[in-house]
Parts: sequence; C-alpha cells; structure tokens
Amino acid sequence: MSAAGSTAVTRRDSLLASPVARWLQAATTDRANVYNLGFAERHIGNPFVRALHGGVVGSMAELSALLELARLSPEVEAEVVSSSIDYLRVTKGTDLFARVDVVRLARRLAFLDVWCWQDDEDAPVARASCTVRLFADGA
Amino acid sequence: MNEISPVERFFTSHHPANATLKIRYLGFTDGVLSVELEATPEFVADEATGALHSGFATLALDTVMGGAVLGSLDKIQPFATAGLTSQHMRRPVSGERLLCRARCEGIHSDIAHMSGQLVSAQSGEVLSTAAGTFMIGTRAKPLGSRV
Repeated sequence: MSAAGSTAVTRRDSLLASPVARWLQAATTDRANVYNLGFAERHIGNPFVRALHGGVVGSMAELSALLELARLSPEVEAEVVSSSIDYLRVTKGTDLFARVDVVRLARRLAFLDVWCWQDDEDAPVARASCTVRLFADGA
Repeated sequence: MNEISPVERFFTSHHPANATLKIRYLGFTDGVLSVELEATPEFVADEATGALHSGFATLALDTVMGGAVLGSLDKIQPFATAGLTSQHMRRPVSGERLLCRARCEGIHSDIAHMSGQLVSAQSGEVLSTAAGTFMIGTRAKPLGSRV
C-alpha cells in the first residue's frame, strides 16, 4: 500500500470514528462516493410527522463532503466554510444516503454537491452545495 | 399565572434533536429569538482539538430559526425548512458556551425568511451565520398533485 493510501485509510477512518460520525451513525457504503446515515430516534426533527431534522440532513451532507475529500485527498485537512441546502421532499424516519459529487477540487478550496435520498436515488430529499477550505497537512 | 409561549414550550418540551443541543430559552423579543447552548461533545469532529463539526452550527441554526418562525406566526401551523445557507467562520470547541439568535426578516405569502447567528457567549465572536427559508402550512398538497 502506498503512503497516500495508508493516510487515506487513517484520515477517513478517523473521521468515521469521531463522535459526530457516531452521533449521525455515518458509514461508508459499497459505492465509493456514497455515505449512509443510520437512522436513530434522536435524528427526528418533527415528532408528529416523524421527519428527519433539517439540520441533521444538512449535518450529514457536510460530513459526507468531508469524508469524500478524505478519500480523494488524504494529504489535506478540510473544513466546511459554507453550505447551501435545498430541502426537496419530506423525509421520514429511515436511513438516509448521501452521494458526493466533486465539482472542483482546487489547491485551497473544494466545491462539492451532495445529493441525499431515502428510498429512491431518483427522488432526492435534499441537495447541498458545500464549499470546503483545504489545508496542507501540518499547515 | 404567566402562560408559557409556544416558542418557549418548543424549547422546554422534549424534542429529540433539541435534547442533544441542550438549548436554554432566553427570550423572544421584537421578533428575535435568543437561546443559550453548549458546544456538545457528541458533535466533536477532531478529538485532538475538541473542534466540533460544522454540522453542529447547521443543526443549531436550523432549530433556532425554526423556533423564531413559530414565534412569528399569528396562529400555530406546521412548517418546514425549504432552504438553509450557512457560513462557518470558526468551529466551536467542545464545552464552549454559545448564544444563538434568530430573526424573522419577513413573512410573504406562505414563506418565512429568517436569519440567524451563532456566537461565542464569552467573547461575542461570530462563529456561524445562516439564512433560512421556511415553508408555512406544509400539510397542503403539492401543486403538482393538484393539476
């Protein structure tokens, strides 16, 4: 395994093991750029219709963007500096999937789109655009 | 006896996401909702520094702007976030005391336009800002199903 490959495992695994990833029950899937939020009762935002909290969906989208950057650019640290989320459909109390598409990966910034769905990838529940600041390792 | 307002009840009753944020209601005056909260360890992204994931601010701002929507309505009705844009300047660290404020900028038709800020309680430093769009009366059938 290359040094970069080794770092990739370490950095993404470290993020997946972090408290926020555990709270979101975030995990990888069998598709490289798709991440999963494992539903938990604490993710509910509206107890009457049992919809996921909009902030939970947004939080998962931002975390997915960072996980994808950790996979693609293991040598850099990354922080979300802005995000814009459109809530396209009502959610329900089940798992959520997030597919990350890199729009541009530059030297200091990365721009990513995240599409979130529950039952059907063709019927997304949310779309997020994230801008991420990149820091060279140790900088 | 003072009657508790709907917005105060929203933050004092059990609510799954609010339970994690441990929000303390401070007041709702002149259309501005103010709450106090703590940067909770459940949202730490970097255990070496204790820095929280940006999603903590996203969750807090969505929640508090939602509370301000509730406080701005003439009558209680369902609503949901339609759009949320957040700017993150600095990530809070675990245990940091924070203030979150949300304002209703206006309600036009069935859309509430909100803004919010998350600041350090000690220094007043702005950590995150947000603008939110909330759809009021979300039980209505979508337009597409009516045609």
